[in-house]
Amino acid sequence: MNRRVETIIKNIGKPLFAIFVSLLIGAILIIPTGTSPIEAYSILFKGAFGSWQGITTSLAYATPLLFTGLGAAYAFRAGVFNIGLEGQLYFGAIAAALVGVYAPDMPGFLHIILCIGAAMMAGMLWAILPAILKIRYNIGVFITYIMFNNIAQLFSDYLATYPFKGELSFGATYKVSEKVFLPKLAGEMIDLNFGFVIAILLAIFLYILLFKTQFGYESRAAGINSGFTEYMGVDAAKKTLIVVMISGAIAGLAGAEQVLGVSHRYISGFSPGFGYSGITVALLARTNPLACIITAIFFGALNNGAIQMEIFTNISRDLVTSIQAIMIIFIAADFAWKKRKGIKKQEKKPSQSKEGVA
Amino acid sequence: MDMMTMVLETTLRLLPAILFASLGGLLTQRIKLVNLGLEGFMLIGAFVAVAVSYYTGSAMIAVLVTVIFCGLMGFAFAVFHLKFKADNIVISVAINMFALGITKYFMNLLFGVRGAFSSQRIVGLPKVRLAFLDEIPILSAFSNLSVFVYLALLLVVVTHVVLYRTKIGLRIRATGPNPMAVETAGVGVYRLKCWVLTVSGMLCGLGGAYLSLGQLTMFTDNMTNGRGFVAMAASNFGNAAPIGTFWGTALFSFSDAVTMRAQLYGFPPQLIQMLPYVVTVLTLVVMAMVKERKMKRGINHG
Repeated sequence: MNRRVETIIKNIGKPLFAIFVSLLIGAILIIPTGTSPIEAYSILFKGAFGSWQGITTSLAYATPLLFTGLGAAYAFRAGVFNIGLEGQLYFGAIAAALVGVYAPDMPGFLHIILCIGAAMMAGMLWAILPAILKIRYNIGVFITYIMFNNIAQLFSDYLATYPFKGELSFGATYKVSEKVFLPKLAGEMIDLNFGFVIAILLAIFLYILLFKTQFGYESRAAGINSGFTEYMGVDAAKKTLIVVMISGAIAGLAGAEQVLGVSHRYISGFSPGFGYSGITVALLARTNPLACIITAIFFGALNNGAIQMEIFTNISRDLVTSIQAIMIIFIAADFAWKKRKGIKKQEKKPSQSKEGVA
Repeated sequence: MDMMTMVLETTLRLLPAILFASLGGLLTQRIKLVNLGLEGFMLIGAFVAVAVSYYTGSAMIAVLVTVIFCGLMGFAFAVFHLKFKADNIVISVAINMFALGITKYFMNLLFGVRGAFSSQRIVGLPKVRLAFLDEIPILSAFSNLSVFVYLALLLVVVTHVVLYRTKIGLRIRATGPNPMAVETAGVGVYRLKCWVLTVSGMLCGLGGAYLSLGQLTMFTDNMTNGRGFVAMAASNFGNAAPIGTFWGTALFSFSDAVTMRAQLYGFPPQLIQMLPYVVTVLTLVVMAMVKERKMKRGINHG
């Protein structure tokens, strides 16, 4: 019982502590603008939750973050640090858009499934390549994932700007067929769409998969033994690949949601770092898929509120990015809750650095 | 100037930023630590350099402050990673995100602009003018380079000497593969690692300062644009040895220079910008394949 309480305190207390500290540092950063931090935060909060429009917009902002957050959380649980979500999301988006625009005429339902399937496939492929390079040639995944992120964005932008350019003056494809639009949930003006429901269902599904099935148990066990170890058996390698594929498919789904539900076409450089924010969402949720719902909504609200704050005060919305980053650091840090058993002992422990590149 | 000279000159101009950072990456790689935060350190360095130069009118002070500032950030990285045991990749991701946000925020706060900031008041780094090279083909690329190009090359040599000829270098080299042995020899591994991370931050600071004060005196959003990651790849390319890392950096700068030239001929910019990243990945793959073949041959001969 005691241990249970301790875990709960750790799982809830720590994120709260991280949120508190980062908002505090954010407040310090606000002071030089001349606006009082309390006023700024209250505008932010009101913008995010103060009205029906605010709430639904916050949920719309939360949707892509929930997808990428789930993609990250699932991979982390299984010991794979997928920081390539951003690129997987871009390829998912362009795939969904191209299928949505150019696929031959077919029933709407089938067409949507095809779009989403293409997006998941694209995300999966882009996720699995660096993993294969790691397993086959022992090339560090972190650098390749980041390179792959840049390549995916630039290549998708190229496709939308040259061969598949639509009627707009900037790099964007044509509008996808109206049949594949994801239905809006809160009126035409607000971006909240059926993708949010899919994301919630996915969170529940992943929770069950991870914690209630044999497969999930094995993934988590693999996670404890860390996915990308230097020398991997065939079995472990196979499991890691499956995890990476699922994670990439979810990121691709995030891209599909943005295209089919929000912009209805691929727009160059549309993601303000959804993939990277997904990492924050997952870490703040302690990689629990259900908790991701809460943290994604929290970040969605933060981003939405920040825009209101920027409109009504002189504070730039970029503040929120910095706050998020500080939050990650504090959530990742293991501050001693109990008194340490002497510092010398830890020093001697070889550090548990990720050695992906070395 | 002919084509070859121009590409060489562009390569030399692009070299220092990546080279400084890759030396930082090399050092952390020696202590078995992947520091992807190079990117963020550099970006913050670039901003601090511009801001200090703007307010003080001195490039010297700007560089000094930047180096100290980035050194402190490297130290903070060390504390969070070693003492509070935060995962190094997680911290790196956070630092990069933080750098992106905070530089935009302060650019808006201090200078009231978005996207890019430049001003007459920003003083750039001095250049070394070698007028007698002007007329010599190819070598004329060296006639008007920033002093930081030479500093970067000098630091490659310094890093090499420190790493292979000094006691502290020996300790750093030994810490990666065998921290216990170093500890047993009575050296504080914890302190050593803190120092290495601090120095790697300082080197990134130099790289950042060069980016914003070396050529054009300005700061733009995300102006590092992946250079920190490329730097890490360069140090990987060189197996964490200074000379090899230099060649890695030269290769990446060269591919960057070629793409910049190619951009002038009307190729789609996105495809061209992709090239350095593709080259990086391909280089890593080829290197790994070569290494594997060598190992196999070694086994056959043994």
